[in-house]
Amino acid sequence: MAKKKSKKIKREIDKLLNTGRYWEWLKRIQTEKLEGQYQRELDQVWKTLTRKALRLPGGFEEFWSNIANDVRPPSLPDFHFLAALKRFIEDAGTQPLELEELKGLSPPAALLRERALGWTDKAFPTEKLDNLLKTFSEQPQRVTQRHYEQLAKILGGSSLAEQVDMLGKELPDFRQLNYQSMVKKGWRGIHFQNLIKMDRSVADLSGGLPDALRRILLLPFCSQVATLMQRLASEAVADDMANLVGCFRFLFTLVAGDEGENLSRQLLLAGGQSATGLDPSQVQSQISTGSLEDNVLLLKRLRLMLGRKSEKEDDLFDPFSIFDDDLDDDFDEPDGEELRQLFRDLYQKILDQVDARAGDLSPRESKELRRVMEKVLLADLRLLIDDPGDVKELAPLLTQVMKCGCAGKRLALLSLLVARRDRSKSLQSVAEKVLDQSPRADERDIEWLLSEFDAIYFPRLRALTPLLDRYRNDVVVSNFIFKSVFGRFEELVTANSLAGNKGGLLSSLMALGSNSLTGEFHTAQQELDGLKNYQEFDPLRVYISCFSQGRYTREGFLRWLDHIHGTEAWPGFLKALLQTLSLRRTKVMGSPFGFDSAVWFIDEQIQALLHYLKEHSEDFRTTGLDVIFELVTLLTACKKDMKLDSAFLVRLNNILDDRFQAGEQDAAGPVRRELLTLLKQMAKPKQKARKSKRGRR
Amino acid sequence: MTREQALMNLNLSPSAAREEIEKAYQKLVRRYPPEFNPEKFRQIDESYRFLTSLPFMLDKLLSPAVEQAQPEPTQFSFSPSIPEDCKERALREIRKLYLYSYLWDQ
Repeated sequence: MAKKKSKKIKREIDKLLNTGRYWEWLKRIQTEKLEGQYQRELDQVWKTLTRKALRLPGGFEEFWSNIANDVRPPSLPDFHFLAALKRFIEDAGTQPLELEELKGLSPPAALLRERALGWTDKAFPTEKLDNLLKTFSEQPQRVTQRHYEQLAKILGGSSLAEQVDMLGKELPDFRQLNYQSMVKKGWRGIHFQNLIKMDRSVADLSGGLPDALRRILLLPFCSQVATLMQRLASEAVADDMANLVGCFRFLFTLVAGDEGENLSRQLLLAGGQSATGLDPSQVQSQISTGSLEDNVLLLKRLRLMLGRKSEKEDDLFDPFSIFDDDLDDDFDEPDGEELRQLFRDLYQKILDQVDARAGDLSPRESKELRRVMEKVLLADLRLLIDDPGDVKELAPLLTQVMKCGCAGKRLALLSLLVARRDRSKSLQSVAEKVLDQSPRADERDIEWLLSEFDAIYFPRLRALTPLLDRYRNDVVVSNFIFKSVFGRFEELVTANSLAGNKGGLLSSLMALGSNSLTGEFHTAQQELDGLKNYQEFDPLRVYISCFSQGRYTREGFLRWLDHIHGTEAWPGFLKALLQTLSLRRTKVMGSPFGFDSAVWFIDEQIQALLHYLKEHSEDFRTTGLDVIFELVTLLTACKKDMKLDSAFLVRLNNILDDRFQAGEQDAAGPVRRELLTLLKQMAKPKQKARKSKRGRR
Repeated sequence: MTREQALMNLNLSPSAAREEIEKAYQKLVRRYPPEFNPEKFRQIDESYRFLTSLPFMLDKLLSPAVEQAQPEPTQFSFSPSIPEDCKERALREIRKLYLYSYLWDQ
């Protein structure tokens, strides 16, 4: 085993050597105490590294930074020279006497020694630099671009000089922020995007400067920013200061010092809906370190920002938005996706924090917690998930919400659906428990669930099983579930029939998803087969057998009518059908796009229905007058576009007359009047279009 | 209401523990009985519930009316400064760079 291990170590060491990672190699052989085994390679490596240090300042820096990292250097003349050179470079005022005494140096070391001995501190403009840096550090307000130019000149044509010069060129913009004219303008003179650019420029240009020099050279910038902030703080409203601080992400930490973090936190929590200059990393750090109280405040802020963001995204579809002056306001704002992710991370954290505190709540407080948190969660649900039909996304969220006691009856109802689809028994049992402790779910709760999350249970109808089992004895709720599912099937058959029609804009649009509609129908059909134990779905099974291809046919429709006709539900069904057809027709006719195929489809159903009613006209002797009224209303609306069967209408009139003679006073009321009006209109011959005189000629 | 405000209403420091909150509440309730100081009592009671009841605190914080207090304008009065020895260190840094250039760029 030990042999195997030592082989592995040797392999790793050789790999470091062969790939030129000498410093790592040195550290490794020193750690493993293998210097004796690698004596020859060790000498070679030290020679290489020393040569590199003698050749370039970068190599010299690298050499000493690695020596500081616990790498023991050899006792070689060149190494002693490098150590003496280091002391000479770092300690101003010391004479390079010890350099002179060193013997046995390599030629590059000897050359460097010669140059070092030629150095005199008089060549370095200490006094000039001292005076200049004194102005920077003691009177930063007075520093101008000229001071940076002077410093660059002293530094000669080096890359450092160029960097200092470039940095100085940024200062006039900062000084301008506090000119008298800008002071007069106040906040009106502030353009956030400009400030962000200025701050970034300074951060970039000062990068790579030695630490102390960087601090001094940035002081005049900080001083201008401090003056600006102090001046504007007194006139600030709502988000202004948060935005301003957000613009100076780099400089603000230098300006505010120790206070910066606390102030940024306060601004982050207190700000409004603007996300200008918002730093996602700051938000992320606030989320992970903030207290529950702070995080709840942050939640409100992020929600406002997301609201504004979606408004802006909606505006992009507005053709006039290109004239909006504020369009560039979101420069440097996190995008909607980034904000949504932060919002979700924050929710996770809040739920964890609530969970940590919810353990010792009294039953009354637990109930209260459910009430408070469910309200918020329901409002935010759309922000927390991308697709309400995606159970893989919903299941972990709901499990967490359940675990920390934040779910009320609606979230528990949703969990029942999700648990069945996700095959999560634990989620289902917790949801059942919450429902047991909550007030009874009513029709509105079920309506919310089935309309908001229809993609979860349709076409996968078996997802409804836990819900159906739970509310089997609750007639109101179970009827509502049945009606909702039936409604979805009707919609599907209608949409699929329109897609199958040729011609018209609507048909073309529907035809795009025709295959998936048919597939959805067949899936739902199969799922329904799995719900054989639920007799509530029997009428739906008949409906599906009537439209077995998932599309409308006249034969299927008549069979469906025939089925209902034989049940008690017929009068109510007929009234509702007449109302629906009437409403749909009015809507489609009023549409600016003139959906011809939809009109054809509705009229086809009306004609089929009238045909059926004519065959069963004896029914009208007992049918409620309200139903007949709906029929007459529909016929009146269709008379212009449809050839009505006058014999049927006369027969209807006679039946109403018979009912009146039999003592039913209302049979001569509004229904009859409307019907007679319709009959008169039909009897009146259409006026022929008068030929114009010009036409005769 | 925020946690800071609630603590202030009970004359407590930010690090106050549950026992201290209880004590402060009992003391203030005795001093400001609801019959004579209904408004003050309501403030004390709300602050106490904010600090001791999780749902109450969440409800209060989530209410649209509650906002974190904006920082005072005086908090934006900064005097940016640098460490005392910064100038000396900067001089040494420049000298070092100067020497690098002298030794290696000839």
